[in-house]
Amino acid sequence: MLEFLKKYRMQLLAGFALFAALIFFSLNLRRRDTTSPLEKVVLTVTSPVTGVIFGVNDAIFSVWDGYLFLTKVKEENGRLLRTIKIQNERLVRGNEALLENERLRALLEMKGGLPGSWVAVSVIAEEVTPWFRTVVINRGSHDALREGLPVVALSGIVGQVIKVGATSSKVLLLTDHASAMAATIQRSRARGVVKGQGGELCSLEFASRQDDIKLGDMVITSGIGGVFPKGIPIGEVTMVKKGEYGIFQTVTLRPAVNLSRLEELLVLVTPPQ
Amino acid sequence: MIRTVRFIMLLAVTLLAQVSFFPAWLSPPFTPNLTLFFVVHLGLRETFSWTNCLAAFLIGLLQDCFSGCYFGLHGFIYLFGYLLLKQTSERFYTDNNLLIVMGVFLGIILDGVMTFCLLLLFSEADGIYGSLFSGLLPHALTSTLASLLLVRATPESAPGYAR
Repeated sequence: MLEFLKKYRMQLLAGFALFAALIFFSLNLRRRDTTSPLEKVVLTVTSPVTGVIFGVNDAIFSVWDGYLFLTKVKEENGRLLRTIKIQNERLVRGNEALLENERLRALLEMKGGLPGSWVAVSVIAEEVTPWFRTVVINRGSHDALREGLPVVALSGIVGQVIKVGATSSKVLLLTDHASAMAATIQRSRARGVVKGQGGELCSLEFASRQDDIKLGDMVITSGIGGVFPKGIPIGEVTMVKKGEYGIFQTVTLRPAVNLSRLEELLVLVTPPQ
Repeated sequence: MIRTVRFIMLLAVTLLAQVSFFPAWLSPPFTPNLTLFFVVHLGLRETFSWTNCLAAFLIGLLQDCFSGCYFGLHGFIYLFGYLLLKQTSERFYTDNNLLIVMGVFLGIILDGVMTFCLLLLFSEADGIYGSLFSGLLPHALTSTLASLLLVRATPESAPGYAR
């Protein structure tokens, strides 16, 4: 026995390490809605840098739109280009400021109109793998954020906070496969559960065959479960399919928010009384 | 010591670029996974040690901090990948840079397959498998291309570099 242990010591230790890692993973599955200390530290430490890199990206986009486009004109008329370039850069900056101002103003108006207390946040990092849908935002437990809080954008629901660091948090988007929320069809008041499909679309589950659901119907949060406030737009029905058999119908919806271009968002910190 | 610090610095820069720079320019599934490059490097170019084992696991946990909601998933997968590479690396000519690039490609495929298996066993995320497998090949190809650039840019990956 001792001989066997000595001979296969490395393989046994490697197997033990793998088993320990698997146990670690499965234990964390139970605490999926809580943030581990390592995640807290990493999110907190990286948030200032990722914020700066996102700013640099924006600056590069601005330069690309406003400056590089005009380089061909420079070949034709240098003097005129310099004037145009300066004017254009100002215009781009002005337009960008104007658009940002409009977005923030709309967000502020929305914030005022929504019940409860909200915190404005910005996206600072995005998901890497194609099979999960999450983003990192620039607020954390210092701003009273915690796991489970709903996140919305101007046009509707974005998702839910799942991990919280001191100065940044991770948001599970409503298109992720792990995301689910109670929903209602605004027109007919039919109920169901909106689940993510991993891509750009969601599905409305548990909508019975008798429910009146049509293309173009707006799907809103039902308020059931107490996580998401009632009446916030989730998306628009893009496909309804009723098979010959079965209790439920297949309903697909497109999120009201363009989740691939998220910038400023709101997090509901205190639910409405 | 200097090599370790440089490795950590390079890993940090790559991770930050992966989560905040590339997503602004590339849409999923074309965003590359660069952290796997470091695990493949550890598996092919470094001698076996429990510290490297722990490093592979920690790189996986770092990946989990920014990806998905299953903490420990990539930790396990990267550790498994590292041990698998160490078991087979002696049979290969590991000084060849293309082997690292190929290792990254196969690592991404392994990552996808193991994510599928682990979520099938432990999770209730129904339907993830469609998007997982449809995005796997483009994700693997982009990551391979990125690792091809990375392998040329890093002195640690140069053939015959001190181990």
